Amino acid sequence: MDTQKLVKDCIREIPAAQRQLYDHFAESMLGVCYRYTKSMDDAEDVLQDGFVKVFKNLGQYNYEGELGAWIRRIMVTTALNFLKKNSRYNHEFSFDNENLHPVANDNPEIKMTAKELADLVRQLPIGYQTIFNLHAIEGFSHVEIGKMLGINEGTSRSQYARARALLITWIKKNDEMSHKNYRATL
Amino acid sequence: MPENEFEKKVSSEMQDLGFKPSENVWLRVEERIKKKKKRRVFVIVFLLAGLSLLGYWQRNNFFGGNKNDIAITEEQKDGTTRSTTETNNTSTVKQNTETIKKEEANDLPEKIKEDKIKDDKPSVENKDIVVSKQKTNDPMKKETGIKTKPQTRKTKPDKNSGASVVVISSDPKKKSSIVDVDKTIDAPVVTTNTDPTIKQDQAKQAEIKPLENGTDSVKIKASEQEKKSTEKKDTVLKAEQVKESAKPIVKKDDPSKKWKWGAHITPGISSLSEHGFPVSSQNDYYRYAFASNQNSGSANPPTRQKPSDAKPGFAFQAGAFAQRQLSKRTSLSIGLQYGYYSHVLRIGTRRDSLLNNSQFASTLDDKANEVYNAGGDTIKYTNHYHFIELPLNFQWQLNKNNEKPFVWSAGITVGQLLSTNAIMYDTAFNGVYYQNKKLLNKTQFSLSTGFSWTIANSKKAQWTLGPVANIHLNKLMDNPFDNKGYLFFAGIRTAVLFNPKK
Repeated sequence: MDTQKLVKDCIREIPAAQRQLYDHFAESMLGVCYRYTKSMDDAEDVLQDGFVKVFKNLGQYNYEGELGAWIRRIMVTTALNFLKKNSRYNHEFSFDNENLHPVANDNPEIKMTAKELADLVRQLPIGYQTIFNLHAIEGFSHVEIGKMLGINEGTSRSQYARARALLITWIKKNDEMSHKNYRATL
Repeated sequence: MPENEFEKKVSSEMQDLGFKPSENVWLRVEERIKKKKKRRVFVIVFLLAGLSLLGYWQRNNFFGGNKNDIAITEEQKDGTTRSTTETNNTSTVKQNTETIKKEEANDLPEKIKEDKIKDDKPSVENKDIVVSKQKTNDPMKKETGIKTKPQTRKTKPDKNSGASVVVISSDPKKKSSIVDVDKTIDAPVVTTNTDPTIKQDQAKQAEIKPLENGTDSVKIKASEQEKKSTEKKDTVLKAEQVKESAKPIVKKDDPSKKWKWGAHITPGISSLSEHGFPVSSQNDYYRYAFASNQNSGSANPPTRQKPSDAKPGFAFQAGAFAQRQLSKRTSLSIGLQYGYYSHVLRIGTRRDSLLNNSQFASTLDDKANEVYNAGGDTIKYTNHYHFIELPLNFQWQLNKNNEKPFVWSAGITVGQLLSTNAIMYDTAFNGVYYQNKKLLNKTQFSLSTGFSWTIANSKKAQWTLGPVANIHLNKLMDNPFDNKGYLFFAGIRTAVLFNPKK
């Protein structure tokens, strides 16, 4: 795929080029949207908004970075806006922190598919989920996350540590369960 | 083991995550793109209409064929009667203002009648008389594109647990499950093709239920306090914060929001036009044109020469400016520039002898050192004007291409006349030209507009080229005997805008 030509054609609003661009990135971008939301319908809504923004702002793409990364960033921004605007995600989750010790150095083996892992991440409370996605997967620093979400850097760190600990525990439990099930079948 | 090993694993796993979206997504995207396109077409049509009007105005006033023939007009107006003594009298504002006011009411209707009569007669001079989406998502709705299986495992909420999350199956027929986050953290069983949904309200209800039974008031208070304290600690995506953090991703120190510096040079042409941008009153000009006829009655023909037509002369603007991005497509710039303007007059021979004439010294500008006859085509005199100007412009990018933006700009410029050698017309002594700085409006306000195309765009600088035009709002020469007093400038602007170092 000649990215430059495709982008230029999209700027010229050639429908075939727009469709080609959409087809090329839609699947992977829906994966991004899926990680930030709690349902596939919401993920598709974010994808839709995101692609409208992509086509609207394609002129600003300067060909320096990968087009996929540029679109992905727009999707992440759109997803965050969606979470903020959508009342269903505007709830606060409270956790008993004392019983949850961060296990930063723990590094369990991940024996699950991308979707299974994504589903686990999606079971995290929305705040944890968002921060985990932004830091662990997108690679944003806690300072950047703080600016994006309007929270302190420290809050981002602590929320991330809890999310990480919770996820690692779940992964381990899941691994144990699958072992037990496996033994039971034997 | 490095600390971020886990993150690396998760990140690499997630790179492969992808789902095929339903066809509806594209249909809605396509629909929304088309709507935007229609809106843009309307804006472009509106802009073109505005430009056409501007072009029409420019053609009429700047390059138009309206001759400034005061003397000829006067001849037609008052017949062939005027005494030579009257023509030698200077018709300055002081002398004539009172009589004009008295006679305007009486003279004008008669003159209009005369005009009508003369219009019937073929005359070469007659041509010079100008009388002038959000779709509502059902949370229980089955997801498209993924096969879902219900959560089969259910865990009871622990009373001591600080939180519990209810995991509801996407299939409404199946039971919901509650995931507790406590000491013995139950890991949710991940079943392939399962999309659990967390219901926050129910999670809260699970916490509150034992408290509502009222079995232990101390526990209630303790848990309430605990709840309050945890609320303070774990606050992410609160409704209040949402309002404050309405600007995600966009960093505060975005380089595009910084002031950028630039310089420009704009060669072009300038001239004096009859009207300013808001078509101004011609009362003064016509008043004085008629005023000199007040004492008509002599049989001597008028000998007054008409003022020369101002021909466009070379002009240029050069200066520096600072530009700041207001939004993705709009920006504001302010600058400081030098403006040189000129226009050419075809005049008669020099008549410096008049400088010694007592009448000239008393009624005209005694500082004048050059006097020229108005009639004739002997000398090609260029009026030069040197200005220092402060332009304030608003720019609007019309296309989407940031590599090669096409920008329309409009703004206002305040200028101060530094020096000039301008000579201007006076009806005295049958029509003369001389320097009269009293009649100059040194502070000038002008409207400017133009387009620019980016011809080269590098990391360091952006080069643009395009036409610009300046229309002065107030008269440069407040000369009652010459109706052309508004400066007009049109040129090709070449500008360079330096990108700030990141």
